[in-house]
Amino acid sequence: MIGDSAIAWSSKKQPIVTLSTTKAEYVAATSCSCQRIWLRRILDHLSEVQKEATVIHYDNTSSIKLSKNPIVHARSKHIDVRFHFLRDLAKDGVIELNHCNSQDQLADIMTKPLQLETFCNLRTRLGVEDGSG
Amino acid sequence: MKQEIESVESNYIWELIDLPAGCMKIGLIWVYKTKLNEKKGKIEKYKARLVAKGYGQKLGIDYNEVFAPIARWDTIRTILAVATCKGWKVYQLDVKSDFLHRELVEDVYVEQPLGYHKEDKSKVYKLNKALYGLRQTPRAWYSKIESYFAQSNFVKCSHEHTLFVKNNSKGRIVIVSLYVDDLIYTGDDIEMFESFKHSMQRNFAITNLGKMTYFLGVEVKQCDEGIFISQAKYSTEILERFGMENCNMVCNPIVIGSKLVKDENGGEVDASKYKQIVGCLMYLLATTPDLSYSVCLVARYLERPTEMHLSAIKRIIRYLKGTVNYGVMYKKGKKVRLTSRSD
Repeated sequence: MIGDSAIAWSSKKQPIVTLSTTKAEYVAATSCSCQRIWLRRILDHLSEVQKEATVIHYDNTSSIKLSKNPIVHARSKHIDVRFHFLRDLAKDGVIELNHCNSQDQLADIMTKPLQLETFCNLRTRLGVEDGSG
Repeated sequence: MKQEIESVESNYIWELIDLPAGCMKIGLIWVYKTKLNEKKGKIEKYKARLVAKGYGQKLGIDYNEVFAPIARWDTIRTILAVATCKGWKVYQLDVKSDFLHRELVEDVYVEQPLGYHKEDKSKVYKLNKALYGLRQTPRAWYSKIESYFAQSNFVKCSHEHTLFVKNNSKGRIVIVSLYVDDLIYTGDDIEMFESFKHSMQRNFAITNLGKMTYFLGVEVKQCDEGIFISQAKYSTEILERFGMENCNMVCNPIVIGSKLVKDENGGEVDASKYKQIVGCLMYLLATTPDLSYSVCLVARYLERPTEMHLSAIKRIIRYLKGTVNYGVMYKKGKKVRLTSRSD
């Protein structure tokens, strides 16, 4: 998102089977960061250099912790190396994972059927409007 | 037809020769099209186009490289968003008979077109420049315009090959993005626009379409508050095409708690129609992030769609009916700062 409107979005079925929800969220965050890096480069090229880390809003605390601490324990040691890419990025200051409330999670509109009210609310916050008015 | 032949001949596209031994010739075909004007209904002109039967060509003999990059929607939206934040206007250009402007590297021979035989019928034309329908045409066009941009001091983005940027000494900027023969440009300096436009005019036959209003089926509205993109026309066409223009609208694209499964026992429905609908809706995602979850969900069952999946897709179309005019608004006066959300 730039400003208050969405510029890139994607919703897809996870390509691999995950054993825990934490891992699932972690995988999603990784693919999100890949897109992010690409967009940053495009913006760099447009002379809009992004100096600060790009914030990724995220509603799963354990994934955030996982990206910050290089702790390997029984529950997370099976996570594939390529998904630890995220950890490197966080270390280098390219991205920053930030916790947000589940109610506040804009990305929900991409992942599940929602109550009408929530749906309309999130839709507006993506920058979608009725153009006829 | 006469116009097309004239255009081909005036551009020195081909020369008449005998077919060299061991070479294959490629057939030509006329394609007719009735062009409607933008508001629909009225016939603007009848168009005939000479097209080569490229499907008979062989790799390595008739062509080598066939790929041509096109701009991603992400890029186009990014440019729009940046332009809005900066308060710039976005303009578009269209290159006329673009494919005809580029020299061919390979030797390609074509038959004489129907109805326009000259002298001996066994003679063939050797193509000097690319023609519609040849496998290598898109690539040929891209390398031509790429070299033009390189000459005019544009810098190509290495992460997106259709994005070109030029900075001048005063720190002014022009951004150009290419989608085959359509291109959009924006920036903060009118002088640079003008010189860009003139040099384009010198090198290619272009129509200057002015401010960006309609690009690849997407309507673009540039107003004081910002830029608004939507696909109202395309949505209406989808509704008509699948006979849903009179359906009742619903407020959300998917029923809460509904689950789509593979459904081995359900009654099968017409898979090709299902695929067509999914394809249309996929293109619609360019301006409707709200639909992306539901469309991606129904797209998982292309192989053997059943009644259950068809009713899910019908619900999406009914939702679309209520939101035909919806689109994404980029508002002015915001800082260019990237944030993201993931779940």
